[in-house]
Amino acid sequence: MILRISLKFLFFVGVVFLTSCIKQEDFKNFKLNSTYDPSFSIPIINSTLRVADAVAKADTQNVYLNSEGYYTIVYKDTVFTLPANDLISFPNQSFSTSLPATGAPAANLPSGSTLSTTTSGGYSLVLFNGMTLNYAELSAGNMQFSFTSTFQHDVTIVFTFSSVVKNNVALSRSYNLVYNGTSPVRVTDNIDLSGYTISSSGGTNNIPYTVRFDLNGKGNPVLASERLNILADLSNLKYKTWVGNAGEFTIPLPEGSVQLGVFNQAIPISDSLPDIRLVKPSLTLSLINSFGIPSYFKISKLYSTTAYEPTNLKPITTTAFLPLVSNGLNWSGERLIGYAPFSTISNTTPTSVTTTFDLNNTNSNITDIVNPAPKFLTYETSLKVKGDGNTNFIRSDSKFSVFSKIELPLYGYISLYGLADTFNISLPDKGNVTAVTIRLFTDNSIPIKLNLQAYFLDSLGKTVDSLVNNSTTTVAGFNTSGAVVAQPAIYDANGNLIASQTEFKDFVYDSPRYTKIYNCKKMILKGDMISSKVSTPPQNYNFKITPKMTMTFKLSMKVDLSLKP
Amino acid sequence: MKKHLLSIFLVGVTLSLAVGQAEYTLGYMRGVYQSTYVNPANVPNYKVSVGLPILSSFQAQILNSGFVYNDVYAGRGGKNGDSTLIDLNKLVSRMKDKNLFQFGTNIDLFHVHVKLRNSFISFNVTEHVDYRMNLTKDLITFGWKGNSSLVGKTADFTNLGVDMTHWREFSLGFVKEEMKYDIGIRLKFLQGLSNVQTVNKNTSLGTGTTMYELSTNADVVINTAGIKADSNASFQTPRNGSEAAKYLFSFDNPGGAIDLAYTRKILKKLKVTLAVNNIGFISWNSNTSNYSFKGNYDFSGMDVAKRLINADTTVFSVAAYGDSVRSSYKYKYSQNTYMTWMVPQLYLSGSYELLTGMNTVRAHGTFFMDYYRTVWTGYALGVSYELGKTFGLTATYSARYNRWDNIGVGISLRLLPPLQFYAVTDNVMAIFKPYDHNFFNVRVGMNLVFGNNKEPDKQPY
Repeated sequence: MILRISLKFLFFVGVVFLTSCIKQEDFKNFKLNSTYDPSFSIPIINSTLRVADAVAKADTQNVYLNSEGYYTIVYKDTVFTLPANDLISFPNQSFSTSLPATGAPAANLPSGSTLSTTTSGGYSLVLFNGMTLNYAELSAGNMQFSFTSTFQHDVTIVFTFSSVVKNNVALSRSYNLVYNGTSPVRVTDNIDLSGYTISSSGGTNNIPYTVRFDLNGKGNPVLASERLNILADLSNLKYKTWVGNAGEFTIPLPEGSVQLGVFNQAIPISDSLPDIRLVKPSLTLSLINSFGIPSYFKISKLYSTTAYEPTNLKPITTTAFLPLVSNGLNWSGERLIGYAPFSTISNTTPTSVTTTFDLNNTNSNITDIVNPAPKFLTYETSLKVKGDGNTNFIRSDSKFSVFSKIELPLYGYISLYGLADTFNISLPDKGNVTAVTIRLFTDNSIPIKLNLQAYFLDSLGKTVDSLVNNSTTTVAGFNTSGAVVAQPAIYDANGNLIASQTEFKDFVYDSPRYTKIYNCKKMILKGDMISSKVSTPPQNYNFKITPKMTMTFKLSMKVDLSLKP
Repeated sequence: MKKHLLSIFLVGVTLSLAVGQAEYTLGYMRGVYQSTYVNPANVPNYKVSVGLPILSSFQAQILNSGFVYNDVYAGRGGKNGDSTLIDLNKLVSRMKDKNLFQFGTNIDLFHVHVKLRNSFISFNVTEHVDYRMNLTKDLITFGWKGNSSLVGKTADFTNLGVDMTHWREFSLGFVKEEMKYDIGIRLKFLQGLSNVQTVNKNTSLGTGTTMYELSTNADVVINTAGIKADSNASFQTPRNGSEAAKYLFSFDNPGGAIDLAYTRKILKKLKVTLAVNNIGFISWNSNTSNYSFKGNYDFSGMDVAKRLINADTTVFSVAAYGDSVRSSYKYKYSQNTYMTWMVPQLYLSGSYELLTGMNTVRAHGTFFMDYYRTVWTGYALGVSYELGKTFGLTATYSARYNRWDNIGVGISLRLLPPLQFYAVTDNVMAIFKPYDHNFFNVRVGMNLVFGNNKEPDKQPY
């Protein structure tokens, strides 16, 4: 009984307390009644660019810190090099002669008897451009001899070049041609001429020789028609030292260009060209000559071109090259350049003489050439050789080189200057994105204002939107000036930092805009660098790049999503 | 001035109206032995009370301090209306900074309570299961709205945690009744069976105001005991009767606790009681696992300048930063013993006898406070009526769990001596409108009671 009552009581309480008002279906199949709309804010980039770090990692041959404490960009280039062999060389050549026997008897030349013939002559060495050889020390070369006898006797030959000497011994060779009842009889020889000194008498290019040949009788007659034919082929003659008169000729030098990499990406902004004014740009041409020959440097053309106007040749004019004179693109005159004196011919290394042409803001229009941003400085030059006397010389290790050095001290001002590059991009799927806000912050201690614009390109390369689109300045519907992302730092007249400047920007992409760009595969990023506007250089130039300058760049993103439950 | 003081008082009360696990109504039911669980100095009406296993007391409670069902219920939806629509925006708006979800039960396996002269000695064995999960509003906000809604703030997840304990209590109680005061003490031996404990010292996510710089911290240890686990947090529950028996009768995790109460009889009809309960701990020694996760990582963006300067091709590599994040946090697994503290409770209550005799009516009031990760408080007012030793009826009004509309009812009935039936809840309204209330508890049972402690006063006429 007790148990029954207890159970009934407990049952009653349990039913009343625990189950009376709860519907089971209210706890099944839960679903959200609205979309899931989270928004996430994340930092993307927080970076401080230190000019000193960037320079340290850059090609230090191209950038250096000058004595005034700011950076100078330097572009050095070897415009061209003319080696010795391209100036003077020996052409391959040959000479021949046909010699009869002298004093031949009317009867047969009996066995055991000898008939000797001695002949002297001269070989006229072939050279280019009216050159005359005094002497040349040969480092290489071959002489291919061929002796052919039509005599019906044995022949003994002694051939001597008295002016081809090695170790004070003239070049001389002996040969025997044995008659075996059949003529002609032939013998060949190859002589290595390396180490020989070849001289011509009196600068006539004449190389004297002597030939003696003995007919050793075989009891046959000596006919008037019988000859000893000599053929010598000279090939691959290389000199160690060449001395003589170099003659007169002009060598057109290959066209050369110096590429100014810093301006590679320069593009015009809207309808304005880049405006760059540097206080002290300079161009130096160094002509380094170790030939011992009077030479004259000539310029045909000297001009610059830009990346965006490659056909607009902008002439460089200067008074630094007198008597070379420019007349627009074309130049006239020639300038004697330094050359090695004959006394240095035996030096261990060739003696070079340098002739330098310095173009700067006082003797040329180089300042204007830098503005607007040039991509190439192009040269068309030539070298004229004008020999005199017979002691012009050239060594095998002599050369003539032209070096260029362009220095762009980063002191001046820059305005409306565009740097553009293309990047591959991959943006999050539009699917759940309703809005994207890109937030940008800069803290700038560089005296340059930066404008930034980006264009989003679809797979066909068509621009579908731009980063900044709220300006009235548009081209083809897109803003071209971008937005200021960095304000120029303020410096005093002595180049001391007064205050760095901060900039804060939000770029909002709502759903319609993001729908346009999320499929884009490429982005053209364009930056405009603008220093203060100035009118009277150089007093108002305030653009100096020093190692202490930094730019802190921060980028964050807020992404609004909407997901259906 | 009075108006201002009243405003300050109301604001203070509102702010402190958090959660706790008080059983207010039960404490006012002197005729029921189980009232000594609330007030150990309570002097029961009967000389002897005996509880049979399970039948004497079954208690269960559930609460969600953050919101009620109807806060998030948005009607029926889906195909054929077979789905329950949930409004999470409303949920987030309703949640408090700290939100406790808790359910638990305790069942008396046995008790005996005997009067010896003017003292009472009791012994009881009670099974306890308690599950608590503390959620922070910042976590829900982050999950539902993302961190954009937390820009400029540090979302604090430090109070995030889960704690679960299964233990058995063996307690020995003593109540001394004097003219001017009553004192009660209960000594408890605790048999820890299993536990999950979250020690969250510092977990947060900060989002910067201007550039959304992220700052993360974590210093969390999750301890488990009683159930085998490995470093991958793979748990192995008892697979057969033998293992279950080993689990249920293991004394490897001992603990102790004490309840103390002092009742001052200020006037003949007015009593004030201060009870401090559950001061104790359990030492967990068997099958312990400690999962520690600690570190911090601040991210304000990738340093692309250095990488660009160095021509590093991984300029925009998220993976590189993923590695940095991983290396900033250290995960450690160990099997060290640990200790958990019980949830201490404090009751400050008073009662005044409005009527005495055969029909006894008392008015009650209680201030309650306990500590679980933070201090939780509650308030109650109540009236109890006793018809001799046969019938007891108690009604309470309490403010807690961010709600002011909790109406409690308790009833005890001794129609068939020695059987005493009782049932009590602190929120009877939850029975009728469960979707509008965030808390419900109930205790029901049947005691065997013998002998009256005090004879009712004779009628004056």
